[in-house]
Amino acid sequence: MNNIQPLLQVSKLHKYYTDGNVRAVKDVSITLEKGRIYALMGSSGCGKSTLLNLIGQLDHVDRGELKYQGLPTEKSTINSQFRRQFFGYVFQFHHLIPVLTLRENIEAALIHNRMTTSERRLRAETLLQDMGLKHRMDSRTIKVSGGERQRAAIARALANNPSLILADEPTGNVDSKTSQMILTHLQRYVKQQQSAMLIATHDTQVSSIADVVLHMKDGEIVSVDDVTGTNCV
Amino acid sequence: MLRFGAYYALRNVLRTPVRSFLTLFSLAMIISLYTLLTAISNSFADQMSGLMDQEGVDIVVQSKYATNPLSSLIPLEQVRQIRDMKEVKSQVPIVLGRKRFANRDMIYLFGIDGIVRIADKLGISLTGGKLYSPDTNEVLAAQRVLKSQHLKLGDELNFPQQPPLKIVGSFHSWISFFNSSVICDLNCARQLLHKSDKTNMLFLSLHNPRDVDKVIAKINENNPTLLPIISGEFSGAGMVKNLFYLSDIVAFTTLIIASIILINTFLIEVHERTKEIGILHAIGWNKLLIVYVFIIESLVLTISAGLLGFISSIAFLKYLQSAYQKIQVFLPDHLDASMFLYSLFICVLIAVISVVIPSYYATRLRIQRALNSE
Repeated sequence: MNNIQPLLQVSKLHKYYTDGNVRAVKDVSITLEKGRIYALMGSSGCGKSTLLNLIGQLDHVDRGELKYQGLPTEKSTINSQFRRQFFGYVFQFHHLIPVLTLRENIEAALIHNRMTTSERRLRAETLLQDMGLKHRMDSRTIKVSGGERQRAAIARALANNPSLILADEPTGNVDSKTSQMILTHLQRYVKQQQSAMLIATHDTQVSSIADVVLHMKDGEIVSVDDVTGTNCV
Repeated sequence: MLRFGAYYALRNVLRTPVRSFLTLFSLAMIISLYTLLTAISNSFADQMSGLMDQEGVDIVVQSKYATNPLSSLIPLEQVRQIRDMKEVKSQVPIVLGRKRFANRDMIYLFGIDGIVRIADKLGISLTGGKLYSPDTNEVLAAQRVLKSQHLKLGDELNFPQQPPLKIVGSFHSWISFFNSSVICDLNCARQLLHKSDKTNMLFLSLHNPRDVDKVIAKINENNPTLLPIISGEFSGAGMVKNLFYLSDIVAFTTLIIASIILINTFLIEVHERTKEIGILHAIGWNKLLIVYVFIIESLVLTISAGLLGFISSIAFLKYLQSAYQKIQVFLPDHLDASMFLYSLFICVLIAVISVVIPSYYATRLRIQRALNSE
């Protein structure tokens, strides 16, 4: 019997679009536990990104319940502080701020923390160094390659030591070498920090690092491959 | 946190340098116009009040529909009628008008009877020479006139087809109205200005100052074309009051236009940066910090525009002073620090007002939609 408190519980989640005519997510229930990597697989348009956005509180849930570390969420409790402390987002397109350097982009994610400027700077530099971007930290986003941008975006996602990393096609726009580096880094982070990661992907290389693979079709989770043998649905 | 927010705001201002420059430039021109209008309007009010709100003078009389003393003309018959009123202790008539030198430069000529009695009250202080004698062609010239015409005491002022005037004294006045003028005896001025049967203004002193209302009622009754004003209440009188209102409306309109330009610029910014604002929300920036960034951007633009606008208004003022001598008399000598601080205050006000609507849009963005926007 597993007595560990789940990190996130999703129950009967629904999301409608176009005035209720399109159901993007239908009756999804999953449980995410610490220290595990979950891959969300399915064809394009099956609702992977929508589910990720709903879990990450980037979009409103129409029906269903989300419990973060056992606590049900209400609209009032989901604020920027919660989002900052709990989630780390990795988007398919890096979504860095173009007017800032790579280091400043990481610092931007840290400015609400009670850190001095030098502490914040040091933290940003350490994260970029870990991602092999020490030589690029003072370069503007537009001056670096796509792979470097994506690595910087991952460094930013990890800046606040999030409990749950939500990654939407994190290696969709990078070469296989960078892809491998990114995945290795994320995997190491999850295991070391005992956090969790939910990756939306249709790349089997990505799903190969997952402990659990959730298959989605037409907004529903249709099957689960659990390599550890734990039932998460 | 605030320092980083301010840095990010600054980078945003520099992100589209041409647009920022054009916004800044148009704001600067508007603020310049506003500063200049306000300064001229205040100066005009000060000039008029300084001229007409005299200590020891109970009532000032001018033509009813005159916008300034130059356009006021009172027939001598009415002057005599007022002088003969039993409540009136003394009367100082003033004649004034423009004169051009042979080199086309223009000055104002004041004819004042009894300069000794009234010099202090008009803020005139003698800086050299002596006061002119009655019934002579002697004049007092403002220092600025002497300097601009390269004249000195003892020289003669020559106007085309007029007898020469001898400069016997120089003066300066805190009412800049007088600093572009020469002052001479009333009869001399009447002759030079061809106003033998008219006076521009009358200053009345009463035996009993409590009779002011009674005398005003009498003047109004007997002379409907005249406007008697209680000394000290000039700035609220007749057409002048309307002029001040007009100037206020124009100044206020310029501020509205400045605000609209800025609101429009920031609405475009919010639209173009929708995705970026979504990213900031996603990485945990709170709404207040996003609003703070917009306020800083707005302040950077408006305060820079304020500085540029104030410097331009000084340049415009100098240009107006040298190029438009007809209105020189109404212009302030300079723009002082209080005017600068006032302009800055207005800039801050515009900055804050202008970011309210764009910030509201920015903070209300749905994160997921913002992130997916193109």
